[in-house]
Amino acid sequence: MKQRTPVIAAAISGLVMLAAFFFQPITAPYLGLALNWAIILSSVALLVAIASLVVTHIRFIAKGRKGFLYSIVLVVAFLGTLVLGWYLGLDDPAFLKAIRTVLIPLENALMALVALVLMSAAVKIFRVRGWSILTVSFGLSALVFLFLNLGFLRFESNPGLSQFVSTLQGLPVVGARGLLIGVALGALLMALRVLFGQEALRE
Amino acid sequence: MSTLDLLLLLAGLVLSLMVFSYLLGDTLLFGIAMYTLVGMTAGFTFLVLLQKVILPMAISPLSALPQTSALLALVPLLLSVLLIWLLFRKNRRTSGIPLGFLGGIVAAALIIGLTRGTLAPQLLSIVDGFNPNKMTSAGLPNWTGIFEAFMMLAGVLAVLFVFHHRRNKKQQDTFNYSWLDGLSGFGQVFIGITFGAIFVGLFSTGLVALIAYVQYLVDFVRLW
Amino acid sequence: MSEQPDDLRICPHCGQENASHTMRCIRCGQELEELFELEGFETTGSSDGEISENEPTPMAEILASLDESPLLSDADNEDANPDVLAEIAENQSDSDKESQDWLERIRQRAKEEEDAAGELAKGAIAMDDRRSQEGRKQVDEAFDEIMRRIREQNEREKARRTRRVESDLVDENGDPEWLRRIRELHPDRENDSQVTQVTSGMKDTSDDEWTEEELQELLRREVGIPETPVEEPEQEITTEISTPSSVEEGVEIVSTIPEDEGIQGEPAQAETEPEVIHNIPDDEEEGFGGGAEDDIPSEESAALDLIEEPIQTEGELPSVTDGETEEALPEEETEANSEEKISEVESENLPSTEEPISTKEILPDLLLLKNQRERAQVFSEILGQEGRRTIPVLHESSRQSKVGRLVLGLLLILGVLLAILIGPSGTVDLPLSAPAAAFAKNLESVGSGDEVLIILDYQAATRNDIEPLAKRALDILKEKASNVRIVTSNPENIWLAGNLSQTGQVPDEFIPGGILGYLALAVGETPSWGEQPIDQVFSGNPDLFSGVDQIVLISDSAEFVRMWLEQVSPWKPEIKTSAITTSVSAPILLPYHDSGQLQGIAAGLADAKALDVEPQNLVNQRAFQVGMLLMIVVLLLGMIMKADEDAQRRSEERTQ
Repeated sequence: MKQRTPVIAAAISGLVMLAAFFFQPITAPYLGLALNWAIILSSVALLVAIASLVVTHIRFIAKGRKGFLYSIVLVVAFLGTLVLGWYLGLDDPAFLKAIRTVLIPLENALMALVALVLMSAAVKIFRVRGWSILTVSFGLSALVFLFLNLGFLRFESNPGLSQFVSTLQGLPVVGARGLLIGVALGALLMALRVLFGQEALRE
Repeated sequence: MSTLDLLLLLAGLVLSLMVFSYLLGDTLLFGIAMYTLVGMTAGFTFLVLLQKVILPMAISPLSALPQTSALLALVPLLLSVLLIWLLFRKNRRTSGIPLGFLGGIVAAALIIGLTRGTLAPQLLSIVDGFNPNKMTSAGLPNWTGIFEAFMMLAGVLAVLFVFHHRRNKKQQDTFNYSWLDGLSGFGQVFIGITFGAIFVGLFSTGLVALIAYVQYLVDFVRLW
Repeated sequence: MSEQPDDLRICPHCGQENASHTMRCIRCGQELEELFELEGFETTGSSDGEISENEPTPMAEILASLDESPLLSDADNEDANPDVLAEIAENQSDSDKESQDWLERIRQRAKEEEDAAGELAKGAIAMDDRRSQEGRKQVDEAFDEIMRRIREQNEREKARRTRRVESDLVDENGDPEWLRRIRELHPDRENDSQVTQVTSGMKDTSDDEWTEEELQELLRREVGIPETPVEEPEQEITTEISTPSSVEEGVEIVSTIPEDEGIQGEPAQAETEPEVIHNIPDDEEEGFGGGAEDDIPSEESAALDLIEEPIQTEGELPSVTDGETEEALPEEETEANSEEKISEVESENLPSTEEPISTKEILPDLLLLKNQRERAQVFSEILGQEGRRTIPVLHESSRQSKVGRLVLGLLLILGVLLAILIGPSGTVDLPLSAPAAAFAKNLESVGSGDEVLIILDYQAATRNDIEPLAKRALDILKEKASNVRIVTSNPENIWLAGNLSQTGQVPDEFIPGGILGYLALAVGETPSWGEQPIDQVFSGNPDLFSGVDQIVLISDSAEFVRMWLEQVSPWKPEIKTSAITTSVSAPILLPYHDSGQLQGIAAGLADAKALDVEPQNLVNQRAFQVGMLLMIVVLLLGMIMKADEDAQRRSEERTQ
């Protein structure tokens, strides 16, 4: 019962938008208006989500919940960035440079961690998943592409090799295309379910 | 380099080193670094949304009241209030209206986009592989093109079949057709190839980031 | 189901009401030998648990008589017998007197018939010969021990079972749980027709006959309204196991639940009985038919013989539950087991013989409703989970795994560090991919004065993969004197985009709403009533796509590029689109290049050669090679280790 309102709203708005898309030359202004409203709503939703995150962590601090130290760090970082940015302005070069100086190494390190974790994952992948068509093809494919990225092969003097490598590099297209079509079909069905009220939107 | 710049540089360095403490496990230092990242990112995003979206798009048009554009701006404002109300009262029926509206629009855009942007072009591309112009070369059969066209069709069908077959096989344990298993295996080969390429790409990106970071550390040490 | 109400027996020791067939008082545990007296039959003559050797005989006779009793026949038979019907009708109105009349008739008939026991009696006598008083005492001890074990087992069973209650809602005979328990408690409430009930069909019928008034009356009886105990042990023991058998084969049935009595607390109590009985191990007592309506199949008569002896000698009548009929106890179950089960049927509240329990302690539990018990069970389970991890940890790695991860990580870091510190950076001759070549070609096709729209959507984590290519592309466009407009919808790019230009400028515009914003700009038009809200955000021309010849997407996310190609590109097919992305996104975007939606894709370090990116703008390529080599080694190591493990396991299996 309580899910009926959003379902009805979704169905009505979706069907109207679908019709508007089909008659886009005529309904362009209204289409743009509806999309603008959606932009505002999505931004507000994101704002609400961020506010909810901060309020939750403030509650954790107030209650002294286990791990509230992390919450203090988060709240301090959030408020510091917000206050400084509001005071100095978003376009202030000093503010942007400060953000850059702190966040770039941090995010870089996170990405570097990915490489380190992948190393340990590569050791375990066969022990965990065993031998199967998927894992064997995955392993062989990874080895081939890793070897190609080593740069030991010389392609200028060997057009045949270059052609062969080019064919190898085109092999992932088949799998990717199948995956894309499959994902698209699934998403299409889900969207149709939303339009026809089959899928309850969760608040 | 000013003191502030140096402090910020040190802060970035220390935080990034704390990230690497993950190698020892999910440590306190790693948690602090992560929460710092989340806090700063959330704060900046909040600021951008407020100054670049809400104020100019939702609040500023109201100054033109009672013009039509200003009246129309009341609608998203009202829906936003309902959405904010959801933060306090989760079970309000009216709060589902803005979410439903948003969901409907996204669903409609998805339907149009998926069909026009992915399904149609990709399927047409498969069919286009059987174009006689591509399958012949100077009046002679282009065996490479023919092979690629059939391989593409068979591969895509096999990949699509993999998931369908897996689901069916789970539901019916005793249901076993050998040729269907073979087709599924054929599809798994292509999926494995794609995943292998993605794996190498991900490692390559991570490795580049690691090299850049180590270079950054070396440069910092040399500078120091 | 019999329409006659069961008679309750009052324990002479504590005054607790018990079922007529109960052997021991459910409160004080004392034997109720007086209750097991049948008029006209030899009594046990023992009141303290002594077992008389003579008990099996009258019991056997009774069982035998019951075999042939028309009242124990099935419905069809009953219907065929008008006398029985009359009796049933009479019994329904006056429970006590009618049940006595019924018993009286049976006794008379038993007297008249010769050797009525038949096989049953012979078996009983044979069993009796085997018995001795000491054996009975041992049986008593074993009985007590088993009772305790059964109670414990029952508790564990309840803790484990969460859904059993639902399954127990209707037993195999079709009787609901609560009815079965009621019958357990008041077997003597049922008259002969109840005793004859066996089949599930009959049970279903009997279920229908339980009216609210009957249940209420039963509840009142249980709550404390003293009732005249039915003197005659009209019901003997029945095997609870009794499979649905024909009524006429019922050796003896103990009425458990008065159908004409309403009861609300009883179901809870009754529920306990079958649970307890179900927990009884196979080698223990055999259960006794729950309802008086249970008929014992002829093949179980021997079991009954085993049962009736200790029961009779102990002077106890077990309460039989309907649920017990579900379990077909094997004939070889020991006598002790049967006794255990009978007593257990009464309730788990059955106190030990040494520890009489007060009414206050028993009654609340007995009156516990089924849903209350369920809630209590759930609550106890929740309490039991305190301190235990209920949600499995997704990535619980062992110490060895952590050490391995640390070693491999340090190995990679060390290799990269050494490659950076030792020797020159070097160059890596990587194969040029077709999409990268197409990207370069497309970029070359940009003419002077062309409008090029650059869409930024990448993060700081991937800047090393993207920014060298993006910078080079911007330089090429600048060299061609094209008009470049840089926009982004990602807040992070506001502070990150400064890396792309030497002046550190921010993007020209911030597009709100992500892909929705781009879509709104692509499909929307300026309305007649004024401006669109998104126009307020622009500092320059709000018509983003007007006059644009090329779009270059600089994104580390294949998802963003895909969404752009789905949502925006179909509305602007005349604009050529190409992408600069990371190595990880390239395989997913290849189909879009293959279909012609993307003019070209430049991805990561591998495609830097396509744009002639200066090596000094790239990361140390020697270190890149070292990293790739290490990964090849680790991957091969993983395969070899797996193969080795498999070989070892196979050899172990062979040796075993």
